[in-house]
Amino acid sequence: MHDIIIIGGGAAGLSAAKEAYDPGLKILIIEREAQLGGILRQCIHNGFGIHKYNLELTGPEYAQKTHHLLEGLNIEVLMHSTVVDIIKDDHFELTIMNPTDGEFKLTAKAIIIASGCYEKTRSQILLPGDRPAGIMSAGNAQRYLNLDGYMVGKKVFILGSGDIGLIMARRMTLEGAEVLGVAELMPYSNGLTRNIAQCLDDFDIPLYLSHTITDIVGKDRLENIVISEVDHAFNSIPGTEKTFEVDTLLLSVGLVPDIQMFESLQFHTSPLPGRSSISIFKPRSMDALRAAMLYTFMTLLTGSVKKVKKPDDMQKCMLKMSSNPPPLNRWNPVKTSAMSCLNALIMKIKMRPFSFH
Amino acid sequence: MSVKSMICIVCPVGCHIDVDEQSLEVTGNRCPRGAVYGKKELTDPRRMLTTTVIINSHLQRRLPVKTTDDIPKGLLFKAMEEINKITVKVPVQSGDILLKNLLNTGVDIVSTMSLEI
Ligand SMILES: Cc1cc2nc3c(=O)[nH]c(=O)nc-3n(C[C@H](O)[C@H](O)[C@H](O)COP(=O)(O)OP(=O)(O)OC[C@H]3O[C@@H](n4cnc5c(N)ncnc54)[C@H](O)[C@@H]3O)c2cc1C
Ligand code: SF4
Repeated sequence: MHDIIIIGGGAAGLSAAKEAYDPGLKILIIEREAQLGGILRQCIHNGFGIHKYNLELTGPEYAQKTHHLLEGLNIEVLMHSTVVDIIKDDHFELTIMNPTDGEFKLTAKAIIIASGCYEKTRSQILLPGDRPAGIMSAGNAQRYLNLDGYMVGKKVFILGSGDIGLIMARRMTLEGAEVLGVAELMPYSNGLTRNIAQCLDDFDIPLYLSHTITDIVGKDRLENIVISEVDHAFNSIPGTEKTFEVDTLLLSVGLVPDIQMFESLQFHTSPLPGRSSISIFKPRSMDALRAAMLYTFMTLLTGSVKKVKKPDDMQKCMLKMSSNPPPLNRWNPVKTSAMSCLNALIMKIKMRPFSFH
Repeated sequence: MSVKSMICIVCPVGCHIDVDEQSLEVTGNRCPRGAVYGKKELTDPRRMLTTTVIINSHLQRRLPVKTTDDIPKGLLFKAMEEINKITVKVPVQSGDILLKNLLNTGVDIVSTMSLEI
């Protein structure tokens, strides 16, 4: 039996392992890919680590630095293994699958789910029109390009001005694609202004604010898309249609915590749409494990390294948070990691639910 | 007197700054790095470049790389052409120099990931 099993070896899982570490605890990280680092491995652009390391690192460099923090610590890692189910009884029983051992089970007193996010799909935002090939999330295109070496298209349009979309607009342009534009439903972009400047303006890629896609045409491969301006109620305004001949549409319309697999745990989820599902519990008293867990939790949450010793302190801190939930800052991996870690920080101790809203 | 408005891209704050085209005086920057950026953006705009090159790894087909410093903005596409000629064999360490003095800029191309196999 492990004291803590961490599901996911991305920035959140690695940071959680570091913070939870105690020589007396048996800790295991389970990662389904062949390498640690998670999504950072495909985020080859720079801008990571400004707050944490006071350096401009690329995603892979940030991942490696975070991984190095674990050097010399007795933390087990199980690679190439996917957690497919979790049952909570007296302890947590995890069902795991990997190519060498097939299906097997491991138990833990506590688990930390740091399984990251997936990007919203076409059906989640109810895009109209045909369903040809050539429509995918910006992050999938990023993975194909940066890790697998495939260009997904030559004439590209991007829906959603989230940072992943902006980064991909620049990346695809540099690799020789023509990016015809980015449409954003809101009257403002939700990406960093810095990315509007260096990813769109630098390459004269137009940004259509208050616009959305109103038609998609294509039999086998995407042929063209139609965008229209929207009014204050987000209804498309007739007569404002613009057609773009493209072979690829990338979606950058938000992230959703990747926790469906763990639904059997029934955690409390945040009402914030498109953000994280957060479950927060207040333990009644502390022991080493709880302190470690809490420390992880608080550190990840507040970004501070102050040890929270007394339940009172924690309660105060949580109350503060509950009145002022931390914003999801996608450009600070530490904070985002905290958010995804928070997605479900579950303690195997007698807990009383503590409301976040 | 004409003023050029721009966004400082040095950090995620993204200050809207104004640069006087004659005196090169910068306003609106929240920190000194913004003044340096504004001046440079008018006289010699530069960008960091991150991309990938071919690698013979079992784990992934591309190796992420970056310029060790910013290069003239006008050279970005030419630089991509040069960098795309690079092929790398494992093992490679993050920080290994893969191409020296890219297009005579004095800037090198380095790996940003370690891959052993
Ligand atoms: C495509 C994309 C691009 C992004 N780009 C940026 C960016 O440029 N800048 C930025 O600040 N933020 C970016 N983000 C936000 C990003 O989510 C965070 O910055 C942060 O890196 C996430 O770390 P994480 O550890 O929570 O998740 P991840 O890095 O996704 O790590 C989760 C890990 O868990 C593993 N895993 C998942 N499920 C299981 C399971 N069942 N069993 C075993 N292992 C499992 C995965 O393989 C993965 O390695 C991006 C997100 C996405 C999806
Ligand atoms: S001026 Fe300073 S604070 Fe503002 S964006 Fe530039 S570097 Fe950041």
